Amino acid sequence: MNDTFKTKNINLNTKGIADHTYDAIVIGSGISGGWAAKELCEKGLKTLILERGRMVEHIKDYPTAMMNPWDFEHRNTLTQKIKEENPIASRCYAFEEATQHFFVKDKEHPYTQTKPFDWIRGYQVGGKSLLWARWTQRWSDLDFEANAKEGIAIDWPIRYKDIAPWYSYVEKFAGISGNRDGLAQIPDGEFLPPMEMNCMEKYMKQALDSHYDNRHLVISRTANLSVKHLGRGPCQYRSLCKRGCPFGGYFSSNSATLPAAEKTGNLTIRPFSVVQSIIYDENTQKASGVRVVDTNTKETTEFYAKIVFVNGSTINSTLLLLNSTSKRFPDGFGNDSGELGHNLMDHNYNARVAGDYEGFEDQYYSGRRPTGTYLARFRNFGKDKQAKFKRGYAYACGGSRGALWLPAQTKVGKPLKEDLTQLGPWTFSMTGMGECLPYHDNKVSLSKNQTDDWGMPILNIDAEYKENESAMIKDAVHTGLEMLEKAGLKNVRDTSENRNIGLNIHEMGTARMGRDPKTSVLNGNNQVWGAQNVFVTDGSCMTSSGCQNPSLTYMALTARAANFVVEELKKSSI
Amino acid sequence: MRRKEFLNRLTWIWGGAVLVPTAAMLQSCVYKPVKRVELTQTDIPFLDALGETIIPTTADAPGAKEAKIGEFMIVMVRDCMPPDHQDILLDGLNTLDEHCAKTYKSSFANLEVPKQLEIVQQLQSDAIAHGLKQKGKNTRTPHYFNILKGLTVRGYFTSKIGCTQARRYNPVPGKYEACIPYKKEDKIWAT
Repeated sequence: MNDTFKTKNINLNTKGIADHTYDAIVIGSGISGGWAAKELCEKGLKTLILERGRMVEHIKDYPTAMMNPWDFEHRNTLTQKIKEENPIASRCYAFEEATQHFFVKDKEHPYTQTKPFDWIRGYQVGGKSLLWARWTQRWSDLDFEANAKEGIAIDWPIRYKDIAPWYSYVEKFAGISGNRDGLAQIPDGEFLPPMEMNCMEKYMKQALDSHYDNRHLVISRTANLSVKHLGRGPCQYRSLCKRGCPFGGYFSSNSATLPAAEKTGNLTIRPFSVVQSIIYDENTQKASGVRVVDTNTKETTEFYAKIVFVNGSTINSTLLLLNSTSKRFPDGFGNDSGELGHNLMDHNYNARVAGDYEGFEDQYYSGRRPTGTYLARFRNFGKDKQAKFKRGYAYACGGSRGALWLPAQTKVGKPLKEDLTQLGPWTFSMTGMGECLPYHDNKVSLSKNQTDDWGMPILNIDAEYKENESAMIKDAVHTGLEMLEKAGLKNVRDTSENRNIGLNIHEMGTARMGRDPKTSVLNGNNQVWGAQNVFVTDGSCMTSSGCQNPSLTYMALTARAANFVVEELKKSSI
Repeated sequence: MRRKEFLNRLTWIWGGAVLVPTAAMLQSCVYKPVKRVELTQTDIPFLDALGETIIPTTADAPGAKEAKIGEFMIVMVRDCMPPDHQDILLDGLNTLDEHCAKTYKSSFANLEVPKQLEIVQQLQSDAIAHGLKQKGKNTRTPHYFNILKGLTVRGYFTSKIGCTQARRYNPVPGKYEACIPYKKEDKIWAT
């Protein structure tokens, strides 16, 4: 028992302690925290969610959800002032006049950067699950075995067979629309009916199949409900998801897991609660609870529980663990390995190409499908071997038609108006989504003398894309252009971006899972080495990054860890 | 036309009847441009007229003026435009205003529609030429007409008129149809 805890303990009367004691504490209410709370509550545990931001109630707190373009003062454009005050947040594609209330403003939580890293955050009940892009391809053993096969970083402690039932479990509840495509690199799951491809996309699928034997274009598996599911949805095809959906048409903590947790009567949510540290009890060699600062009153309190789930999102969970020092863990909670804070990854989405198609002029679509098509990974897979880079990338693709923007550039008056109310050619665009390797020197660390408004040390991020990522992106551009040309598209163009690492909002890896406490922070059940009642199941647990969007994997790992802990509690081994 | 000459002519027209010219009459003839340092409510007729010339009323939908493009521009320029673009736009509008006063003795807004269109077409040509000259340069500055046109297009097609009359707007489609037939006269979706 550390000193602070002892002192506090003396000052609290027994009733006070009882009032602050739960079976389980979940730190964070985003996509993984919501799952942790749902699973623990449904298994009968009195669960407290500590959320640093404000309450966001499903539907009631989506103020812009039903607004028309002309209802916004600036027609959904960011003001110069907002952009100047938020150079980081405003680089995020989803940060709009309609959604800015769900984003952390740069000034609200500053951090330092050794090299540019765009850290995009959503501090509210539901976290970034309100804002996410909802693409949910499963990982496969291509991903789980990669580190071991290539001798990179450390081996994942799990394989596809360990997580497969949990993918199924979370898919069945979340509601994932998709097609069973039979592709080994993105295994099929428990899908609601797929959304349809438009004619441009169907054409590309065929063209790729005829020119290559390993380029498979499928409809992206997506957490949007193609049919009504467990009382939610269906999707109304407005594609305004990131404002919050009043129809419950997509999966978020607010629409799905938190209401389910609440229904059990076992859930307490405490917003405005920044967790400063996890309290380690040296007698039991477990965590006894957490220390919390109330963001409104700045008062510090403690909460106690048998188990603690850390789901604050990758970087904030790591900040919390690094700040939770004790005699047993002088360098951060569970940091015997020295790996805590290291191996920070994101994906690389800079490779972008597009082309126009002459044809299908008499075809269009109706409704705004909230997803796209997915060209599954083919590099360093099957017979493909690349000399210049390891791993691979997938492409997010889409076919669409806009107005006659090009000819409109030189016109005014009636001809301009006609061009902008009539359809232009079909366009097919592709965004490479590249895997990033875990590098020990891509890291976060804490300031020794500066603290933020809540008494937490200021965080520094020091990360960059390296040679493997650059070589892969070069190939993704080149290969994308080649595929568009082979498929007969015109005006094929490189529309690549130069985004900072972080901006793809898939930060992960800073408290990785592993087989050995000497080289990892968590074991194969997401349990902190050396403190068996603490579980970390957000992106920080990832041992490699894959090239798939990662949230579905966080959900599955969370449900799996929650199930594990309840089984252990039954055996009284935690 | 000078004021004295104008008054003489009036006398001639009205057969010597003494007539005190009203302010409006004076203005129409001796239009004095104002040097703007920002856009204000008094610029709305000017901006509306420019917008309406760029996106006019047609048989199927009202134009930019009815979509209150002037009001939109004032808000957007003030709140959402980088300062260097604001300067380019204001300089351009001042120049245009002066040009109209000098050449036509009138504000742009009071010119006949064909004359307004002629001026805007010339500006479009100037902007294209400006763009060609800028090609290959490291730092490119936009022509003010492109800023003005961009504002008009954005404002019009996010307005209720632009979305629901010039284009088709369906706030809650309810379903996705991946393939529907399209004829050239069909309008495109607003969002």
